[in-house]
Amino acid sequence: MFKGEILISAVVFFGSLYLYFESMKFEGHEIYGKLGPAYWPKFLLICLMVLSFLVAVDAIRERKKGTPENKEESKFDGGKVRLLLAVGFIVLYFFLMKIVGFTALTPFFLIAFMVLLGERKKIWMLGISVGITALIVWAFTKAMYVPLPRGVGIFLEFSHIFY
Amino acid sequence: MVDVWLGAIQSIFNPVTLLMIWGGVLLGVTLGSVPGLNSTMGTALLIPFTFAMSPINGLALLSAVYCGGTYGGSISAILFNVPGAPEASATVFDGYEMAKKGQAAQALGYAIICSCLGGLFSVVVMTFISPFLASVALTFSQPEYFALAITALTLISSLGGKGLKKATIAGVFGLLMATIGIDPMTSDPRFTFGGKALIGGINFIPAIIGAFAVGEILARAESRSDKKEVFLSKISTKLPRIKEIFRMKWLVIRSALIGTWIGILPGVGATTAAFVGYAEAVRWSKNPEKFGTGIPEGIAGPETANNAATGGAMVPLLTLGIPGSATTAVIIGGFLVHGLQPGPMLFMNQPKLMYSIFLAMFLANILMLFAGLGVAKVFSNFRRIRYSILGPCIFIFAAIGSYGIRNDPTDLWIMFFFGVIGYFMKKYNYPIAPMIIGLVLGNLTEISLRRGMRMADYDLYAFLFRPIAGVILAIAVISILYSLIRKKPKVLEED
Repeated sequence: MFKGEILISAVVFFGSLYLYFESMKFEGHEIYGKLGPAYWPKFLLICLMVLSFLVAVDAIRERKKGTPENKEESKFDGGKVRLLLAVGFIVLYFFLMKIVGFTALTPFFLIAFMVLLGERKKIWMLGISVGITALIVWAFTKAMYVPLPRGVGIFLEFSHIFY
Repeated sequence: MVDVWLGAIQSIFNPVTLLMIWGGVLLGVTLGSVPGLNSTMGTALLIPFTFAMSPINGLALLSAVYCGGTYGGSISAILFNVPGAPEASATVFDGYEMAKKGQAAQALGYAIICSCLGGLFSVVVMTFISPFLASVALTFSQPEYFALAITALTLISSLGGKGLKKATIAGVFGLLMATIGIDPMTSDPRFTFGGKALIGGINFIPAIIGAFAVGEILARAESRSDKKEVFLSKISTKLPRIKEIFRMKWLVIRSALIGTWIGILPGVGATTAAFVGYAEAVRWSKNPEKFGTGIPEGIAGPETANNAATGGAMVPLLTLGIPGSATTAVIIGGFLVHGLQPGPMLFMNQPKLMYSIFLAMFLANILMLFAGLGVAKVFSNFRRIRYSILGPCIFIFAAIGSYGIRNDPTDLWIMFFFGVIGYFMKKYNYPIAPMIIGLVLGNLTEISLRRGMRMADYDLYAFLFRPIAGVILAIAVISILYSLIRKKPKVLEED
C-alpha cells in the first residue's frame, strides 16, 4: 500500500509538473484579457502538486506510525495476471475494432473475457456472445442509426451483410 | 382560462393522445436505460414521424420521451453501475452501492418515486409561473453561474470519505480533465499534444462509464471470485412507503426546487441539476459521511432534481423560445415542423396547445411510474446472471455507450483511460465521485469565471458581490463552515 501511495503521489506530482510546463505554451494567446487559456489549468496543476505532496507526507507519517493497513503486498499472484490480461484484451479489442469491425470481433472478445472471468459453460458463452452482438447490431444500426465500426477488406464485406 | 383548460383536457384525454404519451414514456424509459441511447436521440428520431400527427399529439409524444428518458438512465446506473443517460450520473454514487448491498429493489423504488415527484413538481411550476420564472432566469449571468458551480463543487469536501486531501485531488483532477480540448474563449488547443483526437475535449459520459463500470470490471477480473452475490435473487422494484418519502420531504422539495430552477437556466441541464441536487442533499444531511455508501437520500437528491429539470427546461423554451437543455433544443424541431415558433406569442395564439403540453407532461410523469416498473423488471433480471457472463456484457454496452455519443473511437480510449484511473482510485481509496463532479462542472466553472471576470473588468469585488451571486456564494461558504465544524473530528480523523 505504502509504495503504491507514494508512486501515485509521485505520478500526480510529476505529471502535473510536466503539464504545467505544457500549459506555458498557451501564453501569449490572451486576446480576451488577463485570464487567458493557461490561467485555470495552471491554478489546478499547482493545487494538484501541493495536494499530492501532502498525501505523500501523510503516507510516510502513517508508515512511521506502523499502521497495520500499510503492510506491503508485493507478490505477483494470479489476480495481477488476470488484471493484465483484462487490460490486454481491452487494448487489443479497441485496436482491432477499426480493422476487424464490431460484428466480427465482439463475439470473440466476449468469449475471451468470459473465460478470463472464470466462465466454463461453452453453450452459455457462445449463445450470449453471439446474441448480445446481434442485439447491439440490430438496436444501434437498424433502430437508432448509430454507425458501428465496420472494419476493412473482407471484414467490411462481412459487416455489410448486417448493416 | 377555464375554456382553455377544458380544451386542453379534451385534447389530451382521447385514446390516440393517451397512447402517444404512454408510448413516448415507455420508449423514453427504455432508451434512457440503455447506455449510448438517450432521450435526445429518441426525440430527434421521432420528429419526422410527428409531422404526420396533429401538433398536440406530436408534441405530447416528444415531451413524454423527454420525461421518460431522464428517469430511464437511473435503472442501469443502479443495477449495473453504468448510467444509461448523463442525467443519471450522480445516481450511480449511492444507487449501485445500494444494489451491492442487496437493496437494488428499494433503490429502483426511490429512483422512480422521486423522479415522478420531481417531474410533477416542475410541471406544476411550469404551468403556473412560467413567464415570471423565465424573466428572472434571464437575469442570471456569468457570476451567478460561477457561484452555482462553486456551490456544487463544495460537495467534494463532504464526499471526502477516507480523506479530504484525496477527495480534493480527485475533484481537481476532474476539473483539469475538463480543460482538455479547444479553449472555448480563445480557441487555443489545450493538452492535445499536437493531435486531433483530444481537440473535442473529454466527454464526461465515457469518463463516468470508464471510472465506474470498467474500473469495477478490472477489479473483478483481478479478484475473480465465484461466490454468489447478494443480488442473485429476483429483483422487482420495491416502492418506498409514504412515511419513508415523507421522512425525506425537505430533501425532495429542495431537490425539486433546485432541479426546476437549474432546468430553467439556459444551457445548464438535468445533469448539472442532478449533481447540485446531490450536493445539497449531502450538505443538508445530518449524516453526510453516509453518502456514497448506498443510502436512499443519495438517490432521492439527484433523481428528484434531474426530473424536475425537465419541466424547468421547458419554461424558457415555451415562454422565450430559448431551449433549456439539449433535448428541448431538439423539441424546438417538433414545433417547427408544424409551423409553430415557440415563444411569448405562442401563449397568446395557441394557449390550448401550451396547456395541452403541460397536461401531457403531467400525465407522462405519472405514467412513468408504470413504465419504469416494467422496464426495471426486465433489466433487473439481468442481475441474476453470473458476473463471468454479465461483466463482459456490461463492458460491451459500456463501450458502445461511450462510442455512440459522438461515434468517435477516441471515446473508447477515454473510457479505458478512466477505467484504469478508476481501478487505481478504488484500490488506493481515492473517491471517484469528486472526479466526476469536477469533470461535469469544470467547463461551467472555468468559463463563467473567465467571462464573468472580463464582464466585471477584472474587478473581483464586482464579480463576486453581485446580489444573487453573493447570496449563493455566502450560502455555500456558511454551509461548508457549518459542515466542517460539525463533522470536523470525523473528517480529520480519517484524513
